[in-house]
Amino acid sequence: MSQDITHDEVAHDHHDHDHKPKGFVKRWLMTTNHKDIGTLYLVFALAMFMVGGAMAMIIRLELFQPGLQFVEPAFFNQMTTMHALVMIFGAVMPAFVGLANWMIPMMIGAPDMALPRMNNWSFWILPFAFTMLLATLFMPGGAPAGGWTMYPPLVLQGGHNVGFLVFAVHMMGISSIMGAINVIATIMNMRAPNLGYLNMPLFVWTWLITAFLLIAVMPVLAGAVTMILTDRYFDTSFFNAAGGGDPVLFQHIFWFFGHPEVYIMILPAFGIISEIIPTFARKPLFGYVSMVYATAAIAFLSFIVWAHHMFSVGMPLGGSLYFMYATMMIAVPTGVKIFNWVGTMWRGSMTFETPMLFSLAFVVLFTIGGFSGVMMALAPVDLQYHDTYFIVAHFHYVLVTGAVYAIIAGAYYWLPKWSGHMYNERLGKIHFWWSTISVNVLFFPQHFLGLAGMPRRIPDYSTQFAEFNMMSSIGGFAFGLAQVLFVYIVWKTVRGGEKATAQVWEGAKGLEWTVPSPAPHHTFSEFGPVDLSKLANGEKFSILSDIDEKDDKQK
Amino acid sequence: MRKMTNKNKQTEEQVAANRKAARKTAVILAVVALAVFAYSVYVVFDHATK
Repeated sequence: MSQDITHDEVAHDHHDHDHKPKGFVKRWLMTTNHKDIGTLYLVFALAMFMVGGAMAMIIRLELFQPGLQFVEPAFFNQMTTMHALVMIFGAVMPAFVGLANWMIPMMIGAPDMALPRMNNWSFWILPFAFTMLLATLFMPGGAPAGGWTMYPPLVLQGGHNVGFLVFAVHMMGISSIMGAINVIATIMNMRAPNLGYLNMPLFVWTWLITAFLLIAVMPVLAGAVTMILTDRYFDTSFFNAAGGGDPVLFQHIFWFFGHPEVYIMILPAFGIISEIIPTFARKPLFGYVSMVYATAAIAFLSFIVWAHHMFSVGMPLGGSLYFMYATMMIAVPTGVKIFNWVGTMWRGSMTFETPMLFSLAFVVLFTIGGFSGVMMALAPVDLQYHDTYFIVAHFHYVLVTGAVYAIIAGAYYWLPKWSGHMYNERLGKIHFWWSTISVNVLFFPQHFLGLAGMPRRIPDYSTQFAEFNMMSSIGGFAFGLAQVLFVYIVWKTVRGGEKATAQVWEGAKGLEWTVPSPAPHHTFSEFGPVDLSKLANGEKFSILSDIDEKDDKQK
Repeated sequence: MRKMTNKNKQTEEQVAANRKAARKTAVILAVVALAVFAYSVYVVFDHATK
């Protein structure tokens, strides 16, 4: 017969030896602790979010009114390129890796990541990669300006920033691949006894699938940029049409990486939302197994749809039709997820703390981004949308109100576990409403701009686009300012505040909520008697007395 | 006192054995990543020399 126990009891049962290394160098530079490395990733991502955000402010400032006001066109192009590179590779991806580092070992009852030294190396490559990339801003000719897609021949016309860009991408790629290997090795080998794959929390599942995507596509990007490097410096002509090369081949290879990359940035977000909604709806996740299969289906489909980014380049009719229909199929598993989240909330005892508010906004706003994605999947219509602000609106709905919102929701959700303090709920709600109103003022008008024909990546525009651009810029400045409030809330919470309990949230279920808050430096060195088979369904933990009885009978 | 079974108990020895298995997984995945890199370079090379 199962007997319920409280989370605090399990926390007492957990063995901890809180031996933090002394001194800054040993604690942070030489750390092999998954929580410290998770913190390093998150701090780095936040810093890059601010750098990329500052670049976005420059872009919106220049576009506030028609005409050239503040920056040269060349610098504007550098800003659009660097904003994307910094946000994708410096902010969103490292933030998810930081969350994975912090949470996956605790969620699966592992004492640490499987390969702690490689974990340290994965992180410490990143600051060097971004120093190298950002240093190009101070080089003669400036930073890369051909767009984050690095299409030849434009990218080959850059100065020596090409070499810096390629090596920075290589280093980011090596870091990502090592991080992915670590995640897979940890999940496959370090799970607590009795914790089967279909009992793992959904955040762990989505990260496992994301890690396989990373290993499959990051080397493809590395290969492509290596050949860009040889075209630029060693007189080869792989992609240079002037020398007989094929620039369209680069586009195919880039998007074979690039489309799964989009899912690399959204699948862990799905995992975070799937953790938060059941907690605040006080119900188990609806359709757990279908969520896992939907995630796997999205990952599979991401490999076979890349050329929908290239409809306007031209391809045979059969190719267009295939890529159109394959792309539209992604809406099916994504729809499964949306309906499952709604099903989880249906008749739940919902409360609306800040993580839940951001998660709800995610569901609604990500769906808007998803709908415009289906519109673009239509090959004949895409010819109108291509390279317009409609695309900019689409991917910002998916990546800002999708990926970034999930990261913020996750930060509010797990911050009490990390810091041991509750954040200020009132400030959190102000941050939510301020962000959500301003982000829609920022990106929604961009749909109209795109439909009216405003091209992306231009510093000046026709006066017919003036009103919506001004509106968008005002939204942008307000959204940027709201994130300064977020930094203040995080900083204030880390410094002090109301003490958090081990469980933190009334409806929280899972191993990470059995350890005290803040989580001790070492957790799950040894493992106590907890029935892990109940994890995925969000049921209460129970003592394994029933298993004990069965074992006794067998003896 | 509540009993613990071997079935759900995790000792330091088990963790060490898990880490050893994890290293094998990591080596396999690293080889896969290198193979993907090599194949993508080969595809471009092959296309360029036709």
